Amino acid sequence: MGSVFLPHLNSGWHVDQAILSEDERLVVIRFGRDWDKDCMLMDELLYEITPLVSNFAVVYLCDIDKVPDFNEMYELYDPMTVMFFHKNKHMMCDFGTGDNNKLNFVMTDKQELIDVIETVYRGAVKGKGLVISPVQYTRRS
Amino acid sequence: MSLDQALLDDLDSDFGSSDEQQQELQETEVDTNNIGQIQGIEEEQEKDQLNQPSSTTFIPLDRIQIDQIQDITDHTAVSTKLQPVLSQIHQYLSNKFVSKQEESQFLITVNALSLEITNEIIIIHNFIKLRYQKRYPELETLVPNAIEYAKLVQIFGNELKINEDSLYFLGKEKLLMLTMSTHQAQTAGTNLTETQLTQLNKACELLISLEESKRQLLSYISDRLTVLAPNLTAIVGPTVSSQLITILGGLEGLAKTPSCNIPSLGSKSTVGSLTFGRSGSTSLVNEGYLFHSDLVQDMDPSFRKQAMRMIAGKVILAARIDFSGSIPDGSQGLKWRKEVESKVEKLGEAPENSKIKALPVPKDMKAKKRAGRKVRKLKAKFELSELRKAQNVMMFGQRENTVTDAYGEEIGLGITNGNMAKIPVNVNNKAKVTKNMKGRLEKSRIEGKLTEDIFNQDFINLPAVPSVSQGKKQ
Repeated sequence: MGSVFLPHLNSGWHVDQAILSEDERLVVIRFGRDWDKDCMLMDELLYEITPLVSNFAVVYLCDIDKVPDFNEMYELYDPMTVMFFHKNKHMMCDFGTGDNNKLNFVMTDKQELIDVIETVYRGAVKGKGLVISPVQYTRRS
Repeated sequence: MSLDQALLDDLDSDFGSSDEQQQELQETEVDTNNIGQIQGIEEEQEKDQLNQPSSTTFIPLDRIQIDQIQDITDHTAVSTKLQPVLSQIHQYLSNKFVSKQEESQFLITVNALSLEITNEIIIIHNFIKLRYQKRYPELETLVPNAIEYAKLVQIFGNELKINEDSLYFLGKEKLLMLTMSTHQAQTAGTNLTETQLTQLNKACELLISLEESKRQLLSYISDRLTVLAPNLTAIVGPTVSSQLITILGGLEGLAKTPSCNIPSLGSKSTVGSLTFGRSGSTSLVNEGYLFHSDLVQDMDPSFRKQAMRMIAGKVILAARIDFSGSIPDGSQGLKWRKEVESKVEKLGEAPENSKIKALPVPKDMKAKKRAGRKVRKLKAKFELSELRKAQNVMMFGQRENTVTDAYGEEIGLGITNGNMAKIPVNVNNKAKVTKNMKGRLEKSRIEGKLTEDIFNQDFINLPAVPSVSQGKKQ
């Protein structure tokens, strides 16, 4: 349900504008497909936290089939990817997954996601390009 | 007021015009008389014998056993009382100059009478039902209304023929239902004897005439109460206000009653037989006069208790206003009624959705300073003075000097020992004056001197004006 209420970015231009126009807040974009199971789960979570983090982050959704412009540049090959931008700068975060560029796994806990966004925002405000996630998501096998 | 008027209108429309009804009544009376004459003398004698004890020793209606009496018209206490009251009403209505006190007393009797009539109507209704059950047992469930029932009994008699023109007072659906079940009843049931029929007819007549006079009384009450207690009637309507006034013996009594007593007035526990609401109901709410007012009845049942408490408060205030007669147009009562209505409406509204509060921006605060030159200076300001420090130290093996303070507590002096000259004075905690403050102090000092000069001048002997103006210019 979350994907219905969250704003969608329908073209590359929209994505650019969303990232460019936000001066203070963190821009969180979920790349994926609305009908995908992972995306659905993540959208629900994002929808729930959006009003809570509205002071320092804004959440958008982007369909990678409709808007394929960034697929190659950001290597959007996973079914669900969440990326962070601040003042037109891509923010990296060390989740312990090996991919610091994006969040490509489904989270289940609201507070954890809020913590991640807060941490990224803190780092972005301080001018850092890479932050370390408060929780490590190294795959336990 | 409005409800009452509406009810009266309903009654009117149900009954058709009163003239018509009267005519009808007269006709039935004539009929019954004829039948009575045709009947043998024996039966009449029988009737007389049966009636004799009741007519010699009058038994009020509410105590008699309905199934034992033959003719209920001999037992009505109300109809004798009714005539003088009705004539007095006419007198009052035509005469404009009646003292308020007198009329309010009369209103109370009228109101009490209307209550009695209501009781009596119920009893007569029961009487008719009991008799007519033999002929048409379903009728009482089909037509619960006492007046309609009585009219139907008069029309049906033993024949049970449906003539749609004479049943104009029933609704279409009711008529249909009645037609269907009457067809069945025509063959079933036992026919009543002629005497029984005459008695029934008499009872029906009595019931209808009682209803008519009750209507007159009520219209009089509602008419006059708007003059006597305009604010009160504006809140709860004429019926309830008349009931409240009556039970408390006048407007003065009502004005003196605390509001918490109002809801219980007229409820079963307090007045016994006077109320006739649902029987055997165990409600937590006091179902008194106030409960049956239209204002309370229109409300959601869950708010009635609260609403009654509110209304009771306003009723008392309105009664006091009316007693003093300060607001004769009832505007205050109307205002209060609206206030209560809006309050109850607000009670029913769903609680507002609480908005989700957004988290604060995670800004990193500056760390607290715990050392450094400035912090050291600040701390020094609040340090213990040397004297206090000395007071806390004791010489070994020597007796400490002590002082008793104002509260009688003994305070040790430590090594201060009275000779304070040796102990250095703490300079750190002296009040510091900023540069700005110094300037301001200096300025005020000069001005203070000037004013001092003015006050010290000898206004009597010297031409002091130039010096004062000089000072001001400076």
